[in-house]
Amino acid sequence: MAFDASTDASDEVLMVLYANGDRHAALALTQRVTPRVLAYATRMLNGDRAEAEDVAQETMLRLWRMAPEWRQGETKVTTWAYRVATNLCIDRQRSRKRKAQTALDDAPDLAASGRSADGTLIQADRMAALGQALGQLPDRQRQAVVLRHIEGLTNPEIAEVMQIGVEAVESLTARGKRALAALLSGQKDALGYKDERDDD
Amino acid sequence: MTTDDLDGLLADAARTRPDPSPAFMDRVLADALALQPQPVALQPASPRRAGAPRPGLLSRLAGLFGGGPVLAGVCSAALVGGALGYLSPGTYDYVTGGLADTTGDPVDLFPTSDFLSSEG
Repeated sequence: MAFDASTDASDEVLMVLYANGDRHAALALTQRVTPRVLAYATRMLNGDRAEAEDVAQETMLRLWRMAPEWRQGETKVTTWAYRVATNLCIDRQRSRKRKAQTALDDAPDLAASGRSADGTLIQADRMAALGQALGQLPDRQRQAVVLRHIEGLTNPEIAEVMQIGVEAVESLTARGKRALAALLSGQKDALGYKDERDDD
Repeated sequence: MTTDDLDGLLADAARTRPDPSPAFMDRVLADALALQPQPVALQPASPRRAGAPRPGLLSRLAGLFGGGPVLAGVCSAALVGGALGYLSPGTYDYVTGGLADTTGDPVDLFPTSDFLSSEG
């Protein structure tokens, strides 16, 4: 029986099949889980793709090693993977902070980037602006906002990933969004909102 | 920036997930296959041939006594013993033709052996 990322089998079933030596399950899990972990790690690490790939590969390695002992019904595979990736990202962020220069210092300043004042940023630039603003949030707020509003997890799932209560998740998400709005408010024109409304 | 603006920007971000490169996906899949446990080969439940019938209870009981003929002998002896115990002694005359003394008097099997117990 061949699987791919679109198979109806749940991640948990695929884990059991993988542990039983099913190579198609290995392929399906790789295609299904890896892109999500990589995207999350990329946002958590301020867009550092190389480092995000290291985190995603290490997360998947731990998943493969965990498979023979996987117990169904205790946690979702993606929730487990997000939790591992979160811890790996935190370790790397701490390592960065110990260095003289942080990634934030290296990031280009949008306000001083010399883009034309009347031009609307293309989608990639909007995402870059969002990524930079996310990078300025405290770690826990960034995790909560990314998991909730970009990765689409529910609050209980985020609570399991971050190993905190659901109320704490709600608080972190709300504070994170307020901080994000404040950080991006100075770039409203640059983000293209004014121009889009003028066009309507 | 309004809440709607921010929600729209976050929704755009959710839709524009960066795709992993094929080379990276190949590395992850190679790890998966390298660490995957080998499939367990199925073993037959027992070395007995699949078509061989399982012996019945009577066959296994006969085996305990050393085989069918031995078991038949044991059963016959048990039946005869039970019958002899059940019938009254007088009934045996039909079988023995009066040869057996069933009156209850003692039978002197060795009448000429009194000299062995005499003194002097």
